[in-house]
Amino acid sequence: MPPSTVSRPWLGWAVVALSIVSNILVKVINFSDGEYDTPELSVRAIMNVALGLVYAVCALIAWQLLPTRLVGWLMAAVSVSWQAGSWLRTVGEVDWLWPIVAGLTNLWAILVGILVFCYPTGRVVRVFDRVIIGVALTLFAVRFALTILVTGRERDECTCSVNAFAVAEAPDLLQAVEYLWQLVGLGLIVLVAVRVIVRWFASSPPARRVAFVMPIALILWTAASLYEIGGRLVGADVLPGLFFVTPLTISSIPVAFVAGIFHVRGLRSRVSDLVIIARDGVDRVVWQSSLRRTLDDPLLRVFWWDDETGGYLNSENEPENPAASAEGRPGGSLLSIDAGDRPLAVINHDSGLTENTRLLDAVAAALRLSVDNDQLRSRLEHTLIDVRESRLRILEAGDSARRRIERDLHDGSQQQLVSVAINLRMIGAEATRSGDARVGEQLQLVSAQLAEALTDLRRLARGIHPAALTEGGLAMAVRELAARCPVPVDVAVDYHGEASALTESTIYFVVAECLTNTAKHAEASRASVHIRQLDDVLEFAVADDGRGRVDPNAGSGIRGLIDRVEALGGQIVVSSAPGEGTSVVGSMPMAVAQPSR
Amino acid sequence: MTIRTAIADDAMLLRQGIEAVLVAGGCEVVAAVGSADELLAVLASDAHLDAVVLDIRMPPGYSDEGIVALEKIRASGSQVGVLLLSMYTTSAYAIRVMSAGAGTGYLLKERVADPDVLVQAVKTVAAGGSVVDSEVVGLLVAGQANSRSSSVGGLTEREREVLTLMAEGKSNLGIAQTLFLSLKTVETHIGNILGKLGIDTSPEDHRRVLAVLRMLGEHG
Repeated sequence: MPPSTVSRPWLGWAVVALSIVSNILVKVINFSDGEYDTPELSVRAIMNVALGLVYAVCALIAWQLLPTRLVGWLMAAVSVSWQAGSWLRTVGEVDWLWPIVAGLTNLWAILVGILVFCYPTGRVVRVFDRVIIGVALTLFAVRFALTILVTGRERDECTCSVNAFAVAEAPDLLQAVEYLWQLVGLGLIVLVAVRVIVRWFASSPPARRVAFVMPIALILWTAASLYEIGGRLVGADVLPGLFFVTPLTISSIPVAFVAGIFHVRGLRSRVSDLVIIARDGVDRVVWQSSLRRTLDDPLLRVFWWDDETGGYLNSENEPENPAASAEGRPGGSLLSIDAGDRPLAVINHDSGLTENTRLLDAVAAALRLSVDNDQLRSRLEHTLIDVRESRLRILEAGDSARRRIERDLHDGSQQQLVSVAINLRMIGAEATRSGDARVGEQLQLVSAQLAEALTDLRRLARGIHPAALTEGGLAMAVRELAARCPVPVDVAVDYHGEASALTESTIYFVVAECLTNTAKHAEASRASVHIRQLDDVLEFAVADDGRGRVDPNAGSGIRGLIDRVEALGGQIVVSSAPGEGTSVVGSMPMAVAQPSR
Repeated sequence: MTIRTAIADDAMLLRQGIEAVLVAGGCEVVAAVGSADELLAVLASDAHLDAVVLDIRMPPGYSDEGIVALEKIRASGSQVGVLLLSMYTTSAYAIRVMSAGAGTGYLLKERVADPDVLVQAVKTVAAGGSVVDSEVVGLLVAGQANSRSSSVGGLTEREREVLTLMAEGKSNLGIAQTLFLSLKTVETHIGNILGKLGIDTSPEDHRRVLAVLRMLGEHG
């Protein structure tokens, strides 16, 4: 709800402009009539103009600051009606106008009273306040009607023409009404002051801090009014030196109003600090202490909704019912914060803050943001952990499948074929011995074929799971890979075997795949393998001087190895520009976290 | 004199095959068992065994039980010849086997299909010689020859052949017979090789083999 959604902004400006012009103009006219012949009168006139201007300016500010238009209009109306008494002399010649102007004198006092009740929300909420305002307005209406209907020519303030509305002349009645008006008015001022001051004392420290200027202004105004009106009622003269007190206190009221609103705004801007906390995640103790600081409420408590238990937890993560805590804190109010369909948190705060709905809205928004942020983050972290763990599990499953296949080959086919080979040899020898040389030769041929098949099978088993790696470690296994490579390979290994088996096998398979590619496709004359340990990281680099053009995404085995390296928390970069050879450089953590499930 | 042997392999078919080959080759097979522990028990009860043939990968762990058994045998002070068989070759095994001392050998299992190779290897280890599978040695020599920084690169073709045979455990005479060279020529080659590679000459074959293997395996 932006503060300046003004349906007709020009109207406000026009009224304010009118009041400023009217305030200045009336004094200029009065001055030219020779009214202010003493310095005291001149100063008083200047103060009156200043008061009108203060209200006009505060009206403009109030329109900007507050969501309700009422406060601005009240201030503008005070500014306009303030000088009604001064205008009376000028408009005395106009028989229909001057009685109205006369009836409107002192309207400002009612308006200021309403203004005080509006503080600080800009609305009159309480029934008691409304009743007082109703009584005051009724009284004013009665006075207005009587002023118009029974005032004759006689006024102290002017040499007026005959009242156009007059139905009778009753100066005594008028006098009585005026006394009553002043008496009741004074009573109302005192009532309003007492009301505001009682409210101030009853409210919480934060609320008191927000509202402290207004009661002071009000006390001063009440005192000045008591002194002035009371003195007038009993017929005593006002001390000439104190004439400036009343306008000063009256003009301090809108200033106090605006200053209070500014103070609240400052408070609200502190909510931006909360947003910083919100960004940094939810430490519940920090949140509560930050809220206490921001809202000036040292007893404030936050309760967080917990989906698992279906109840609220306090900042110490213990289950606690917010409603019970509310009963334990008189003067506390509960603010529920939810995110659409589900509850997020409950704040038990000082009821003084309830008036400050926008501040609480901001707090709620910051908290919602924080909880959302936290939930998103933890959901993301959980997902990431799940994905990382499942990747590891897949890798491990793959590895154990490889080991199983290799073992099956070893214990099954390889053993059987070797014993078949032995039998063939024996039978062949037997055949040769018994003179069947042809069968002997054929059997020997078959034996040779079988030996080749066995060699192939051995190579296959080695590719599936290299025994050299488990038995001899990475350094030796890599050297054997290099030795088997038809392209000459320079090997440099500076590592002495403390990495996890997954890390070693991953680097081994990367080297194996790279050297296979080099041998098959690269047309290289040399290749190199470098492995070295750097603290808790194992770095590796495989390079050749071949034709390059290896695309890791083009279905080669290297893609799977990149995934494997990354799944284990390592990094790998393949560079293979045409004509510049291929290099695969990467690093792996020495220790790979085992999946927890 | 017949060579008295014992066999340990968890695959029964292979055990029988090896036994048949050894018997056909004139050896006596005292026992054929399925695990390293059983073989150690046989050794403990029979002090007159000349050689044992051991699978490396056996129960219970299916990793290097054969080599562990070899190390136990040597630790007990027995000088019985030990020939280890494996379905795959790795220089790691070769170096561990040779490190155990004289009278040890390491062969690919499929070699046993050639009766001559198996029987010859058993005889060699029984006599306190060394045997290393040619594939392991070939691998190591090839790896060294590939490497620019290696001193093996500085050997002549003939010297490399001699080096390979040395690493396989062949004696000077065996090398001479294999390459159809005179013993004196072989000795000259060996002197040059050891000089170029910076290996001390040693009277014992297995030390020489181990030194060569280590040199080949460790300096990349």
